[in-house]
Parts: sequence; C-alpha cells; structure tokens
Amino acid sequence: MPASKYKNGEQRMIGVIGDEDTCTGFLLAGVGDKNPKKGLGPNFFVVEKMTKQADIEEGFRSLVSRDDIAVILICQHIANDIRYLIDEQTAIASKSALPCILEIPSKQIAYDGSKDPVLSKLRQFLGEK
Amino acid sequence: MAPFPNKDSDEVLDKSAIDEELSDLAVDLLLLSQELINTKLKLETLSKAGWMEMAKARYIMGPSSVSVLQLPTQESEKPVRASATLDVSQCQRNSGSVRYNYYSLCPPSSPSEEQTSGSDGIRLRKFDINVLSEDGAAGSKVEKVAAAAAGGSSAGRSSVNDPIRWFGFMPPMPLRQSQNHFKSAVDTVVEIANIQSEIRGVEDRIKFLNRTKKGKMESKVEGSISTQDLEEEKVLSLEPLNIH
Repeated sequence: MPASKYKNGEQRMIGVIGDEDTCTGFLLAGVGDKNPKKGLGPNFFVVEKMTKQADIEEGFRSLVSRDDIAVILICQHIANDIRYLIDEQTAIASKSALPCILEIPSKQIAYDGSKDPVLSKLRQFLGEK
Repeated sequence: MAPFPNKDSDEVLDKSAIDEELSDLAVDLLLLSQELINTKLKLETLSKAGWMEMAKARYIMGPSSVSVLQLPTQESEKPVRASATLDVSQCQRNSGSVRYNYYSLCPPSSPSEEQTSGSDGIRLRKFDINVLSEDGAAGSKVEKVAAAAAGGSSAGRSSVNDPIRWFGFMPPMPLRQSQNHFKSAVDTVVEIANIQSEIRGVEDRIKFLNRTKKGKMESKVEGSISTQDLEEEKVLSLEPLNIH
C-alpha cells in the first residue's frame, strides 16, 4: 500500500561531518549553510588527521542539538570513533526521530555492510546471530 | 447450567492476525535492508566519481585552490544559504500502522523569490517580455528594459550563490562535474534517509505487535487458570453428601 502524508513538514537542512573532500563535495552540492546574524554556525564539520576526538564529539553534539538540521551525514570511519555517542543519540531520539544520522562511505575505507549499525541492528532484530 | 463463553476463537483470530502482520513486516524489513545496501553502494559510486573529478580539478588549479580553505569558516561574517534543503513530513502506510518521517528535497528558490529576499529590499515585478513586445506604448519599453535587467540580475545573483564560485570565477570542467556528482549524491542521501526512516517505523510496529501478543498470551494464561479454579469449585459443589 503506498504511503500517505498526514502531516506537512518543515524545512530543514543537511549537516555533514566528514573529511575534507567529503565536506567540500557536499558543500559544492549546496548543502552548506551559515547564518551569523541568527547565531547559527556552519552546518558542517571537517575532520582532519590531527583533529582530536574531543573536538569531533563537540562537533557532533553541536549539530545534533540544532533544530534546523534533519539529517546528519557522517563518514563511517569517523562514526566508528564516536560510536557510543551515536548509539546514545539513537537511543534517546525523540518521537520525531530527528535528526536522522546517516553513515556514508568514506574516501579512506570502502563501504562495509557488515559494519553498518542499521543493518547489524536489523540482523539482531530478525534473530540472526 | 449456563455454558462459559468461549473466548478461544476470538483470541485465535487476533493472534493469527498479529502473526500474519508480523510475517509481512519481517519480509518488508528484509526488502528494505536490501534496498538500503544497494542505495549506499550507489552513493559510494557517486562519491568516488565526485572525489576523482575533484582530484582532477585540484591538479589543474593547484592543491590549495580546492581545499578546506575555500569553505566558509566559523569566524567569517558572510552568511551562506543552503540551496539543498529538506522538507520533513510524516508518512503512514498499512492503514496507519507504520508511521515514519519522509524527507524530500525542496525545489530551489525561483529568481523572483531571490529578488524579494535581496538585501536592497526592492521588489521587481515579473513581466512577460513576449506580451510586452506587442504593445507599442512608451511605458512598455521601460517595462521591457526593467524586465530584461531583472532577468539578467537574477541570473547573476543565482550564479553568485553557487558554491562553485568559492573556488574561482572560472572553475574548470572537472570541478563542475564533481559538483554534479555530489548533487546526485545528495538525492541518493535523501533516498537512504527515507529507507532508514521506514525501517525504523517498521521496527516500532513489530515491537508493538510483539508486546500486544505477549500481553494477550499472559491474559489468556491468567484466564485459563481462573477458569480451571471455577471448574474445580463447580465439581466440588456437585459432589453428593454422604448421609447415613
């Protein structure tokens, strides 16, 4: 049965946490936003080799706490470093389940479906060991 | 003796309906997971193509010309507006049993909207140049010029808002191709978000059905225990008294 909309939505943005090339690419596509007048910083966070874990955690928390972001893209290898934070966010996600956190393939590591948290949770759900 | 109402048939019907829905939802989950994997692989392909073209542009323009240095920073005061925004709405299927968020890309704002939101605050009316050319009055020529100027300025303004302008006024073709690849990647990202959201909706429905089924089974067990007690009492009450 096709899905139907029952509540009209709001406009929101896409946030990006990734390496230099990933952030540059998605910003080229028009995802980037920044509004200093409203006190809103950039909706992306570039993670370099020298970026500390605490800074990555802070960047993730700042994007998650924003009301104007619906989807956060995060590279898989960066997500592995802050897995506990992502699991925490998924567990305490509000009824609207926003923002949606999407792990995207990164330049350094090829996409591995066996390590995708959504799929591993699905496998547990279906009773697969 | 009034017979006890037989609830077993009603309960079996509910249980079978729940089991049927659970099996349908399990099949949905499998299909959605396969779709998720395929879409993520498609995203990987598009991203790789985008990175490759970006590397070619970097080779042409120089390593520091296509880097994080061109991206807007926290400290800069110049605002940046996202052209790729999402519209989030709620969707339901299976008569409302499965509910999830639905994401869709908002259409890019039209040039007339960009003009009204411009910093100068002047609102220009939209004119149809073909209609104006038929009118010979003097005023129409002024309107024609204004229309042509409005068209030119809107094209100029939309090109200024294009993020590719951060990397220079004449970006090389590989950078444009990289931009196109990543624009397709954004469409794919929206698809992935929708699939993930639907998976979550189906999982929530399965949890609810499992809880309902467990509750029904527990109430059935309690009901059967109370029925057994009542039957024992009845049997005891019907035992004949030994009168000597």
